[in-house]
Amino acid sequence: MKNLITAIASLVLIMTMLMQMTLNERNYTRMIAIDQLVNNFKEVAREEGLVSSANKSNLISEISGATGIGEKDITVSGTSSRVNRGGKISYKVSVKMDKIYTAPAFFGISKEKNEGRYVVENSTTSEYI
Amino acid sequence: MKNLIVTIAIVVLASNIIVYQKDTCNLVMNMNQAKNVADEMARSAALCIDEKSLADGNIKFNKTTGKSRAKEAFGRYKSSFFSNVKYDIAFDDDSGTVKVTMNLGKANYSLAYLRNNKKLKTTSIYEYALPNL
Repeated sequence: MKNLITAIASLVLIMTMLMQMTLNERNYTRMIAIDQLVNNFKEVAREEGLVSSANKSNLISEISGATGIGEKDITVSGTSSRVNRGGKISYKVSVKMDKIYTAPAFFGISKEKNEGRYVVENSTTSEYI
Repeated sequence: MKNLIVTIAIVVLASNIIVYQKDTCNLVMNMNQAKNVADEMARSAALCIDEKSLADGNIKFNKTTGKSRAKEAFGRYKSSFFSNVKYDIAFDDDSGTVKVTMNLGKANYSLAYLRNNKKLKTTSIYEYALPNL
């Protein structure tokens, strides 16, 4: 009986760690995908000389499609007036990341503390002529 | 006792894997970021063309402005990863290219047995194309 109790306790702990590994992999993959998609978005903004609404909605749907995060949890903002070659275009992409820790109830982590936002904020040089 | 020892061993192993996973993913993200920074620097520098030469149909880079633009582009990335990064910019007027090479230093692994002396670097080459007007 003693062995069974310790084994169950050990299994719970080990399973939590295994699940955390999987969750970490998912979150990192999401962040890498977001970085890549933001980079593509930046290339388009550079060519157009601004952050267009079509480019914004395209990024939102691509991030949502690649990561499974709801479109309402993704916000994109940036320079909306056209900038000529050599000027700076600013942009900010913010994506809600939920489920950072696995088994939050087991560790006493509240729902609010178990989520955050992944923010990419930067600027690029316009090539618009 | 046997169960406890096995559990401790598994927990230690799993912790090592989690730390390795975190370090590797951070490294991948930083390498991608470094490539983007190098691209941005090369592009910012390559857009600084000497207007007088351009009017004559030649591409000649304004190296002083180009270097300061590249430095400015580098400064936009505030990640701590870039605090120890060294870069080099080479302008080639003949081919109309700007090459940025970034020396990223060693991979920052938390686990001592994974550290090595291999130095990482990334390169970006931007070719200036005359616009079709």
